[in-house]
Amino acid sequence: MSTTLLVFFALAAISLLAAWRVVTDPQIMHAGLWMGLCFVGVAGIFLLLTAEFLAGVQILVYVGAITTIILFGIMLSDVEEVQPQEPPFYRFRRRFGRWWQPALPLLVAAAFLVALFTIYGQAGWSDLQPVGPAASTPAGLDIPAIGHALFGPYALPAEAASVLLLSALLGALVLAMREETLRVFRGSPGSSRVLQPGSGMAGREVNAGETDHPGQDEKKEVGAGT
Amino acid sequence: MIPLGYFLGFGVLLFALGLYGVLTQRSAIRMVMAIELMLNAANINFLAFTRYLYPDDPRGAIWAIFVMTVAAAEVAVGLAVILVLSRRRQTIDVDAAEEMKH
Amino acid sequence: MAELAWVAAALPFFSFLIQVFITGPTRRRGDWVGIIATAASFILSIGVLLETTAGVRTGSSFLWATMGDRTFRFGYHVDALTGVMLVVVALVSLMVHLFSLGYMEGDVRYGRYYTILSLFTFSMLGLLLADNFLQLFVFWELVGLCSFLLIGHWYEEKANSNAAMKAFLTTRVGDIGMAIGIFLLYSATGTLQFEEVWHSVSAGLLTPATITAVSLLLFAGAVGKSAQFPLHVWLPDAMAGPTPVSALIHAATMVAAGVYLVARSFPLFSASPTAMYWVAAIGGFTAFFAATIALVQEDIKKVLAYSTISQLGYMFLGLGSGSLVAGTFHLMTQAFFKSLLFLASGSVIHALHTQNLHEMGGLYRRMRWTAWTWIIGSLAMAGVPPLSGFWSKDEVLLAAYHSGRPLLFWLGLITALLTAFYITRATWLAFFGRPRDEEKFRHAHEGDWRFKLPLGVLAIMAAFSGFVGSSWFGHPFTHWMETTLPSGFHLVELEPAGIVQLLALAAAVLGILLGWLVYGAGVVSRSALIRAAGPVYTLLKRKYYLDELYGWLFVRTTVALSWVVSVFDRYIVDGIVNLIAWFSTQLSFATGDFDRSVIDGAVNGVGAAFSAGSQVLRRAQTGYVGAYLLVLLGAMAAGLLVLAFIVD
Repeated sequence: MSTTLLVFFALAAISLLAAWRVVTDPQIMHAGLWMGLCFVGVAGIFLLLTAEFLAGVQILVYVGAITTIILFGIMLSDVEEVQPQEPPFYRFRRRFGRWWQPALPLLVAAAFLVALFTIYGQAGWSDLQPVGPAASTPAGLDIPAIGHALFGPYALPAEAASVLLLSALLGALVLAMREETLRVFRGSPGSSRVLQPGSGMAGREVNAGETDHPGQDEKKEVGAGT
Repeated sequence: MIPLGYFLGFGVLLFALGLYGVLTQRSAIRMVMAIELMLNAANINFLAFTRYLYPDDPRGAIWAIFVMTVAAAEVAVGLAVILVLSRRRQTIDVDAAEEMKH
Repeated sequence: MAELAWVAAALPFFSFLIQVFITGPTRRRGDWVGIIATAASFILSIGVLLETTAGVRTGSSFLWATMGDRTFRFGYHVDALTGVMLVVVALVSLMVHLFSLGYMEGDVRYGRYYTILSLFTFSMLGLLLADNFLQLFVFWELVGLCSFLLIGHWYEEKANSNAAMKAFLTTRVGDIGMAIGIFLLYSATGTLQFEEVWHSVSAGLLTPATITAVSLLLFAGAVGKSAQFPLHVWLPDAMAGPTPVSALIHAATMVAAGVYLVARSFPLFSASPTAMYWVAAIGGFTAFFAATIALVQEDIKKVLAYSTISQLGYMFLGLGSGSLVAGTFHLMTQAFFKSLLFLASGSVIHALHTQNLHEMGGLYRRMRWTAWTWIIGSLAMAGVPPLSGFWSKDEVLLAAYHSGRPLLFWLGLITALLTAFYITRATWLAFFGRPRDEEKFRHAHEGDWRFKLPLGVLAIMAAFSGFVGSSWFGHPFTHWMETTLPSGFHLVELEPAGIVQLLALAAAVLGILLGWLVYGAGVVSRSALIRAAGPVYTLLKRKYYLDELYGWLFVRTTVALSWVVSVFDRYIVDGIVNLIAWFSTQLSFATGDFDRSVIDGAVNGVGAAFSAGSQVLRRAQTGYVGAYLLVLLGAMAAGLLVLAFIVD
């Protein structure tokens, strides 16, 4: 067994174990950290695929940014984890009330596994070796090539992606802003009825003066609605 | 050298784990994490196919970059939504957001 | 000018964007943007019409998407049919924009209303300009969306939002058929461009069975959109929307899209006698069927709604009888006189705040302008010469007469009589006689120019637009349509038949006379008439019980299915416990008050079983994200498994 293969198996094992813990760890904070580890492992796999640039981006974006945001999200949302100690099967049973339903997610995931493995096998990809020299970066993953492509033929999609990121940034800001802050931006609540985009999912009209305890209002609403 | 099938197999396993996670979790944040795992699995496929089948084509890498961009945007907006949800409901259980049910 | 036809559709789109992003949902600044854009579209459309009727056919498209070696194009195509439709849609839309200035004044969502009007105008013009089936389908769904949004404009009331959903879901039934038809067409021809499809039809590249199947599937979409039997149930409910919207969407333009689809695909349809037969049969039956319901409606808008269904049936009758001219000509004239009638009824509703005909009466004295325009519209619809409806109805009946289907011809003729009767009834109840609600009558008043101008313009069109197809001027409309057909197709020249014209005229006059005798002169007592009609009257009043039937059919089967599920659940899964309980219940039946127990028990048991069953089926709509995801991903996995193990 060659060294690369050993490295691959090590990275794959670490990533998969981390991914398993993401799904099962009862502590959501730990799950977030496991996710970071999994991303690092995937970055290693990228390196084995000679995609150095992508590996770097993976570390920067996934490990650096996304994991951090998620950890912040966990801390800011400031709520107990949903049924942390329940085993998944019991959780499903309580949710659907049928004995066979806990098996469904497992079944679906297994079906994906079997189907994709079969398709890959049929395509003859299982033992395929790379064309060209093994260690060198192919032209398609070369950093200058990616740069030329990104600012050449794919300049427009790249710009669209930047607009998407900007709007996501603004959207996230507006969504997450507290209502008091929003009111400052909106000016004084002159008319008594205002639409409240920041106050949540429903976006319903609320009397501007009555939003001091949104949580309590909502509980009443939910109770009446169901 | 490692055959293509190993990378693909790793991608599929990661994807299936993410899938299982999305289906079993009630916590919105946990679901977002599981979705990130699935996106990573997709990226592995893009790069593996580029490396093994289309070594001269930069499109696979470009796709992977776009996947990462969209994932970043998704996480930002998704977590903002989760934050608002947790503020108003005191929970991040996705099943608590059920106004549209009726 | 014809090369700029796409600008006509682009203008309302920009107006839509401006209203969404700049003028906002509540302020009334966006209305003029929409009016100016629509007016510009209208002027452009006239230019297009003038050129296309001179024989110009043009279009261009660009590559939209490539999938492997398959390509989809996006573009526009104009010919005389497009030209006529563009003018009709732009003009009616412009008039509705103007009318809404007054009608919607002070509405909570005034800006939103105008925004969606712009979107609708864009989508409808886009639908007309489409040069392939896929693009047509996209705009087809867009107009459906606008219809949904506008029917539910006052969504605070549950009935309105229900009506919007009913319209959306009912048309969806037809749209599924249409989508399958388009898929089938694509798999058979490898293209969706109109020109190329017609070419493969005329070159005989398609089997007759495929042509028939595609035609019938496309027709299913048309049946849904144009509210033909059996999918007509949504249109009367769609009257929940603001009246100008009913005039624009549910009388003149969107509902006519189905007719336009069949007219546009005429080379395809005319290659299949079976499909043509079904188009004619469904059209003829719907025309008669809806006209009978319109006889007894109390709501002025419902009368017009059923009359719209009936007139749309007429168009399909004309098309199915092999006459492209008859169908499209009636489509044009109907758009004018029906939108006129709807706007006039809107003016009445605005003045009286009621839609009930029995609360109106005598309005002629108060609202001269509205009354006169309404009368012009109703005479046009009844088919009185020389107004527009006379010429087009004549054309339809002539086509039916020549098609060798006497039953459909007579059905059309009787419908003409019924049409004249019910519109006379509505006219008399609303505008003449004694005011039946003094309080409302005293407050009735004519609106200002915002009401009068659109009514006047549309009255002129309703009166004179028929001349383009009249024999007095040598049938220019026929020549226009001749130019729209691809090479290899020819219009069937219809021998004018004096008998048909005579019968049509007689039916119209007889219908008006009968209406006047019953409602005007009072020669026949209405209550005596109702008594004499007895069960028929009830049947019509309840709209042939179709809503009840659909409710029963679909709800009951659902409940029955859920009952089966619940029986399985309760008696097999939970087995023995319930069995014992059941035995003890039986025992108590025997020992207790037998009579009451059996009857009560059975009733309650059935009730309980049903409610338990519906509880089970309700679970499919859990509202749980996880459950939805499970179904979604499960279906995807199943598809992948099929791909892996069954398809090579």
